[in-house]
Amino acid sequence: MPGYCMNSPAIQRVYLFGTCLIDVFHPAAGLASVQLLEREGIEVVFPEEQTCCGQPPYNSGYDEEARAVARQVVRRFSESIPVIVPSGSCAGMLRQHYPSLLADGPLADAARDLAARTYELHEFLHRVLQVRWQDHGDPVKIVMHTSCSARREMGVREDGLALLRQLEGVEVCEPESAETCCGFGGTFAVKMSEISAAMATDKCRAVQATGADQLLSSDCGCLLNIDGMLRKQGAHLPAEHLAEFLWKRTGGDTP
Amino acid sequence: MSGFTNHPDQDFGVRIHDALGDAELRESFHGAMTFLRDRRRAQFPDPEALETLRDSGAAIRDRALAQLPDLLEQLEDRCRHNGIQVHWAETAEDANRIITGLIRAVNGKRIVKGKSMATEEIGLNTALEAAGFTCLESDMGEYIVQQAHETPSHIIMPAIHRNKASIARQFAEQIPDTPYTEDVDELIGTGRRVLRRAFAEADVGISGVNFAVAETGTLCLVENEGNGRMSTTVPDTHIAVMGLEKVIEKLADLPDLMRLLPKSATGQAITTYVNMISGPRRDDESDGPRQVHLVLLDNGRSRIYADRQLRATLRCIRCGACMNHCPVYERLGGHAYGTVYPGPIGQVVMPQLFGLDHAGKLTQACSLNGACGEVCPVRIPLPDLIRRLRHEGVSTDPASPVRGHGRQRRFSEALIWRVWCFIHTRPPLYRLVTRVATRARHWLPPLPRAWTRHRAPLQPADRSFQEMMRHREDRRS
Amino acid sequence: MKPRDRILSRLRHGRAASPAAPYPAPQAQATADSAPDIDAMVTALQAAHAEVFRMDESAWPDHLASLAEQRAWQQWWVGRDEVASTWQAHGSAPSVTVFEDWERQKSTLFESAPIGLSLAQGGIADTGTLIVESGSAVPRTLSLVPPVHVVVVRENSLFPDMATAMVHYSRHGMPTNLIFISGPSKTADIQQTMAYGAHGPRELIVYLCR
Ligand code: SF4
Repeated sequence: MPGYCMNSPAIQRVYLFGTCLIDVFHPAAGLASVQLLEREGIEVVFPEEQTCCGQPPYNSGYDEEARAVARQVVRRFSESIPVIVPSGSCAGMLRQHYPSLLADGPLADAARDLAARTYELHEFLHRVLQVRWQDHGDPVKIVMHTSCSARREMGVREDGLALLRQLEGVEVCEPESAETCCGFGGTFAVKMSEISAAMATDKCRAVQATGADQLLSSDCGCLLNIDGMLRKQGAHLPAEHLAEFLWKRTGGDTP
Repeated sequence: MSGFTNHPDQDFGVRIHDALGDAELRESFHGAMTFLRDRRRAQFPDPEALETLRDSGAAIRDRALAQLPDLLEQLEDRCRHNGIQVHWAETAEDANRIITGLIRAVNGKRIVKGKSMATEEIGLNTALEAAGFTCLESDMGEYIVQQAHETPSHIIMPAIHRNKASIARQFAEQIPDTPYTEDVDELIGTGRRVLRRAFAEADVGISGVNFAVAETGTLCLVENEGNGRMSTTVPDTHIAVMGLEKVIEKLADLPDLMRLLPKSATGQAITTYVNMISGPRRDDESDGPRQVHLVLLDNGRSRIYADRQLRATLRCIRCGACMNHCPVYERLGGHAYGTVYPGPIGQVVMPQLFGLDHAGKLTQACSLNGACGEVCPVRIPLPDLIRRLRHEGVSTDPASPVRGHGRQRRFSEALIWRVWCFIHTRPPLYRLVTRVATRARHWLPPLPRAWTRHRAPLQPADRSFQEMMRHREDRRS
Repeated sequence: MKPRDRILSRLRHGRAASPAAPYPAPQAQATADSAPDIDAMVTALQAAHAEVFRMDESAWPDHLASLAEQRAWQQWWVGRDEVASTWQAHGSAPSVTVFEDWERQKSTLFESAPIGLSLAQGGIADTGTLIVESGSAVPRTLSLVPPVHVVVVRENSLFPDMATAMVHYSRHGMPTNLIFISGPSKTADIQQTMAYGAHGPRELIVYLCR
């Protein structure tokens, strides 16, 4: 775990690791992440040469393929500045798994170094930058789904919730059995689709039972899963990435 | 549907499908798991103290494993000194042969057994039947399950898949003079009555072992019912069967493990009985077994031991917390796995015991959500081990330490990852692919089917994030 | 090679091939130097469904006699410990069977021994645990087979916690059978419903004596 020793005035530049799911499915969340950081006076470096963190093949056991992608990330994000990731699971991949995945190669030290300066976006906003925000939106009730990697690998559940609680007009709740997996699990959702669907069904029920107006999560995988099922069921519960929601509520694009 | 098999991969999909379709079963497990999780949580109110205790549990087990061969020799030596006879079994068959031989040698006729996962693992009951013996399970849950010709569905609560109505029906049908009742006290009373007679008449008692202390040559058994004490005290011969990883260095290691095991397992501060056996009855003692035997079981453990990462598997103290917290186990129940050890620890142990060719598919039934690793009292990194075994399952490395490695590799899947890797290590190509995907988003086939059966199709955004960022840069400069 | 040697040599090879990562050094013996917390012992035992009475040691026989009258307890099984002789000598003239010949008395014990009475050699205060050692004075089944078990334990024989108890046994050696008892026998194997008296005693009565 990083020591949070960097105090915010000292940090002027950070990398953003965009993640492939945000790139293709939720670009607005990526943009919101950049804007949230820039508004705090931070320069965001977004290396164009990025693709994915390598988690899909890694979780399927294809280490060689995952390693090839991981090496690329380690090389491209080599400057000694924090790496901000708007996803718990991709951040977890960088922080918790790169060091062992690359342990036996020439990049072992670099991978450990990268792991030590990797942050999940909301963790960084809350714990390092210690942002203070004003709410600009209408009263709304949201239900927050914290992904398993954000909760367990990264330990950042509180950060997302704490940021939301700064917003006066936002009533925050969590679904019953919030700590239970939504059933996404990457390729698990396809390989073990029946089990995955059973888990997602329960999660959708719990999310809907809160009576919230909107569903938020800081992990695109979970969003695609829960939102995908809700839409298939014809439920009306708009889903959004946490970063996007935070950006809009706190002034965002309104001049 | 509820038998153990050496080929759990076979029909795994069918068992999953059946289990998910069984509303009553899902209800049973959901209720039981919620109950056990709540009870455990109540026992560990201070998260920091819990983490310290888990550190200690892991360190105790690691320390024991680091000295495993030496501790086993010490244990053997101390046991012999105490009058406990020690036998070494390389395989399940060896263990069964040894036990059958011991029973024959004392001319045993009536055999009772306390709850033991090691004897389930070696299929002892079947082996004894084949040799002409019957062995009565005496743990209430095991008794119920055995009477119904089923197998346990949980390592701590064997009959967790059954509700009281079905047990009431079973007792009324199978035990003479037993009226139908759903009163749990009366049902337990019935079991008590039947099993008491069996205990009084038994000449051989078989049990497992929770921990064996090398320092003193002591076998520790923890339980609530007293059937373990009955099985190890009343019959003239006691045979204990133990996986060889269960040895610990000294008595001083016990307290922390005991502070972890019952709380993690059933949410109890302590079990009713902690039964520590350091020898057969002495001449001046009036009861207790005249012979005590300890069967040390390898059955693949020495192989697991040889890999530094997989060795953590052997830290397990069989508390069952990992399955209690596993969202997949909660929805499938234990039988769907087809294995003696179900749930996360089963997904790690079984492929290593049976080989990845027969049990590798088990590792797929996991979303890597990490709930199991978070609660394991001895900090076994279960998700990492499951992922590692997935890797060994598709690994082409001939030096892989796991049996049946590479046998889960499918050409099509390997090709997909090869192509995936080709694209993702070439950013310009990746950008081209995402550009096509975002532009053609309305014409893309709604794949894969496994996803869209339950969810709306995945639809890319109209511009990728990277494209947005490039435009932003362009506008700025 | 014998199976034993093959197993051990496999383990030794395995260890040599991939030595363990360093593990933390064993912790210093965590023994409580505080006095045993008697109230905690009572609370824990009661929570485990045992009945607990605290009194001076001289008072338990009279108390037990009146309890026996209330509950119509008549037939007692004892060993050859001090508690047995005290009870046998008690003025209420209880009907007592001394359990000394396992082979001869075993079936009677199982069929018709209603109450076992014995002295616990010690206890563990923080978990509400009674310590029973096998030995020449008391058969181990006395605390197991009769449906009611009455135990006398002295406060000055209690350990504060299990760690201290283990230090004691590590120093003084283990009896052939050391039993920790923390309540009556129980099971939740049927639909998570707690039932007492699964195989061992349904009731556990504890006299905690000064
Ligand atoms: S792996 Fe850990 S949680 Fe699972 S049974 Fe073993 S000790 Fe308990």
